[in-house]
Amino acid sequence: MNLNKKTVFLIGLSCLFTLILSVRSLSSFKVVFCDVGQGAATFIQLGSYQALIDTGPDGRVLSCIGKHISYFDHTIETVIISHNQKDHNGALLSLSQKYHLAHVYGPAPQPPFLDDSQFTEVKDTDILYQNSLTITIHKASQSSSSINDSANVVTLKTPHQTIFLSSDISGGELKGLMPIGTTILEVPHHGSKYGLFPDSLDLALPTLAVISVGARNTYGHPSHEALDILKAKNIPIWRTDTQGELEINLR
Amino acid sequence: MNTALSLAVAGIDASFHEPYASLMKGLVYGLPIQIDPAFKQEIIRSGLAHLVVLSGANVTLLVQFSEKLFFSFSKRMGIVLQLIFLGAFVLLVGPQAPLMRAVCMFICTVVCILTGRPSLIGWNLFLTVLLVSLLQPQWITSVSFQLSVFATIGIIIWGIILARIDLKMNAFLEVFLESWVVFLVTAPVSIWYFKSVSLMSPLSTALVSWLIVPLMIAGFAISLIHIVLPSLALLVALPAQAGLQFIIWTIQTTSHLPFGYILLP
Repeated sequence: MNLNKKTVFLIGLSCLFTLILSVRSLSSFKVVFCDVGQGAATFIQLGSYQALIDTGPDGRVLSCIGKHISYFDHTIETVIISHNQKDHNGALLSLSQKYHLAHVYGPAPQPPFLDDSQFTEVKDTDILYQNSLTITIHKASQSSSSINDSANVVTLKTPHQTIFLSSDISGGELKGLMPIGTTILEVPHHGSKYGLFPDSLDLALPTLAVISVGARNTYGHPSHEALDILKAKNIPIWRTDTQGELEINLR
Repeated sequence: MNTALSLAVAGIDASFHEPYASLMKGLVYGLPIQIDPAFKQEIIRSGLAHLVVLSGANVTLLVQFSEKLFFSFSKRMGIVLQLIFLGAFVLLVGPQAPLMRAVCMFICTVVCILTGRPSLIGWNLFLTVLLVSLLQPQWITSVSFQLSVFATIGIIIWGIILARIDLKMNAFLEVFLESWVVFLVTAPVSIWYFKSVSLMSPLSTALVSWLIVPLMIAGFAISLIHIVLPSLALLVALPAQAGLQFIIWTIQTTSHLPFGYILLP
């Protein structure tokens, strides 16, 4: 085999490799809790449909998405912003520069770099259906003046799992908002002691708790109080600060 | 970032997802990886940081490639075209110390060829250091320049060893051994400045070095084609994506091996 044939063979093999990975990505159904440091970003891949709940503070979310999305796909169909704090929406601008964001749900005000047709303010509840996935976006409180307590919480329902993404709400609110059949709970407020109270899990008992939290953060998250509550209920804990990116297959 | 470089980088950004785009921009244009501090740390731990900053090694590879490209013309015309090619590259990315070290050495080699004198790499390196100390003395104390000079000394030493032992070996083993020699020569500089050293460097360099020239060529091609026909750039990027994935796999694997990275107190 001369050099030219070898080169052509290698290029062909490389193209095939990328194509196979792209096809594999298009057939996956998973949720990924991205390791974005101190913040939260949850990526859902259902075939060619992608949803992102919160963006984390900076461009790290782009690396998380880039590892899972198909090579040919440059659109994120749904982006949901829970509330306007940097650790939850800090990368929205860089995300919009890298990808076409088909639709963004979030609190007012509308980001200036998004068109009117691209943005919906969450006022109460919005429900999105995508094949076997139902996404419910719910404004946690209409009356609270606290930005955390009035954040948008998200429930992802699939045939086998109910995932509750609780943003930064308090432990008191969690008790009333978490669906009864929740299997996976993203622990509120990165495991803060105000995000989980001893009675928060009295009505619904998830089988897995995920804490999106940055390593060596200055807030002391996750708190030992929150960890003790989860341990007392025998709920396994997955943490992005110690385990990095967390992926759950939803098929 | 100047306008030409912004335009060149736009093609890469549009063709690759992250972290592949950042890696490609580092390989081709020496742009620092800012997107993900954890990924940057993995690159350092794997001992491949020299590939994603515009080191002399990248320029040497460019010189070798341009030789093949332009030397089908006459020798003098080839040299002129090569100088224009490198000049345009320096204008594009800006005069960085390791880059200028490599360009100065290349100019010394060209002068030797044009005047019919033997081109001695050690002598060229000495002249380059002398020239830089006269024109840009602040570069002499820069760590990137020092690493670049010491890496070149390592390559010279390896050349001498190879000539002495006169042994035929396969390409991977040759790069692996050469990387070890370069590593041993540059390690004191790395320890002095960074108080750390990656023992994985020779292995990871040997694993990925064969991909650097094709990826740099692909990167340039993507930058140019994207200006005219963005969808075609996406097709050119298709095989490059596999190469970038292999480099990232190497980075992630070697950076997490036990005892691969030593951090001194």
